[in-house]
Amino acid sequence: MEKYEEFDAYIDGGLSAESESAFFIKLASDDEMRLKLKQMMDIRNVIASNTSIFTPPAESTSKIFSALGIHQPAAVSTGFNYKKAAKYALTLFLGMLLTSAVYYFLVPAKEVTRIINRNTVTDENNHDSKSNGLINYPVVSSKDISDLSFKSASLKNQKVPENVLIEPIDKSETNNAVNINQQNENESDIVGINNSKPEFVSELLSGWRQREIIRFAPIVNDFEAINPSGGKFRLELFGSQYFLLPQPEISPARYSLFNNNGLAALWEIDDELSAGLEIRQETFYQEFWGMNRFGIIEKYYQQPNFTTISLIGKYYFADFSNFKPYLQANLGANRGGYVYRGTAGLEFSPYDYIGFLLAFEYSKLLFYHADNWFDSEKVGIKYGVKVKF
Amino acid sequence: MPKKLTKYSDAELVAMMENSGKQKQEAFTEIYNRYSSKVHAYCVCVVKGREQAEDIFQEVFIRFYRKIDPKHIGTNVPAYLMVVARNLCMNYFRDKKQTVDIEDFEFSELQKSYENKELFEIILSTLDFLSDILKEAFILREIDGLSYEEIAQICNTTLSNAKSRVSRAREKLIELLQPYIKDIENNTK
Repeated sequence: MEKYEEFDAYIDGGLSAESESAFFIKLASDDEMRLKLKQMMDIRNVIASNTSIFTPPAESTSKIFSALGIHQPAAVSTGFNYKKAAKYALTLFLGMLLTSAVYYFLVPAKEVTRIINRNTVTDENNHDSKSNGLINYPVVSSKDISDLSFKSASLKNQKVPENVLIEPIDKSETNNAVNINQQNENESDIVGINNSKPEFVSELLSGWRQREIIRFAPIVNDFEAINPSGGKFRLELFGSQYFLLPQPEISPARYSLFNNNGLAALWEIDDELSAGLEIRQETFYQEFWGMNRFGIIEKYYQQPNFTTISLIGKYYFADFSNFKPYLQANLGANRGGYVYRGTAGLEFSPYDYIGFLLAFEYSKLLFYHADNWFDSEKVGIKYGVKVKF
Repeated sequence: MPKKLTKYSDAELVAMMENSGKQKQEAFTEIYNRYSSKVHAYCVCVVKGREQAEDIFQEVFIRFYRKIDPKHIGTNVPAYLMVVARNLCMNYFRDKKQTVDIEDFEFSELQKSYENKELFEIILSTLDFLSDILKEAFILREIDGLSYEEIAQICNTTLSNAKSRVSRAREKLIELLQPYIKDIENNTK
């Protein structure tokens, strides 16, 4: 083999053990070849230690994937497919939500009617053989009749619903009675009322007269009776503004559609404690180290988009009328790693079923790369609305 | 349970890229993760201007995704990517005449001690003094780490020619870098 063929073969690692030994023997007596070999290895080392040319800039990668309309990959992988797990968890959560909605809003409890009164009316004159002789009618009653006026009313040609009955009351309890002009019975005129006490009363007289009275009675619906969940389920929709720690060296390649927004569903265990599930779109700035193929440690910078799903525990430690301060802890995960979040905030509920929240948050992402754990932190402000069902 | 993408061979990933949608995107992402560093290094070393090198690098993968033809790629994906990069670089040089400023190669400053990064820049600049075929062969072998068979395929030459070009490139480069050898030697200690 030519001298420099052996030289190149040795550099390329193409010599057998025997040939290598022979080559070393030649090297020992050939100063020129020995010098060239050393210089070539030095040049190789300089090339190997300058790995910046091997790493495409984030901007170039971003441009490629944006031009192709593809989601940009993250450099870190924990080995666990968080994206798939998050997808399954979201499907499960939405399924539970839908099932709960169907059950609570479409399937009423047996004893609850769609109108105010839970009591049922029994009409002994009309029997339903299927219900053991009793028919349940929806009942309409009025709590406040201060504006009720029966002084003049005209019911000519009015069609009265057939399935409405007055709740029968004991005649001995009535203070007033409707004075119906018997002479105008056919025209359905109600000409007078006992004004000593403006109270709606009724008597189970002839059928059509009672229906007339009900028709003019103001109706108050008490919506508490038709709230099946008892006000224990709530949804929160929120946004956030973050300050990343440390300060990011690079920006995300793109921002997702709902970046820094989230949705939480909570169940009220008691007046102070709630628990639930949250899904949030966010970014974390990551700095981490890893070894490249030349054995040189490189530092990575990135700010990927994450969809984080967390379990929530919320504790209201005080109650000042419409203002309720709270503490909240989140424990979750995304495709990058595990997320821990602590929140201290204030809820303002001008009405029982709707409220506004403002909070201070601290978030931490723990992620794993090349046998090492790293973390990324951020603090921020959270603001949103809550709706109670 | 489907295996992770990292366990797929290049040929399997190319086959996946024949489909549309998510599978194609994931296969492309895996190929990008595997070979973007080599393609980028080649473009940066061959093309003098960094901005132009980045443009060519981006174009290589965009073309690979949009115009992929498994029959042309075969089983050697890195070689195919290098061929695309090489052709784009040649087009770039054909459109723009490349001149090297002689001031960049003042060999008189022998007293100056160079940092590692500067030495690397000097090595890259010195490559411009080689002919295109020697320069290309050296980059593919010493920087991209391709085999002689792959180099022969990319450069459309024989195996012996590929070895010969790399050998001549090494010899020439050592000769041209003599004024800087001491700094190179000190830097690697």
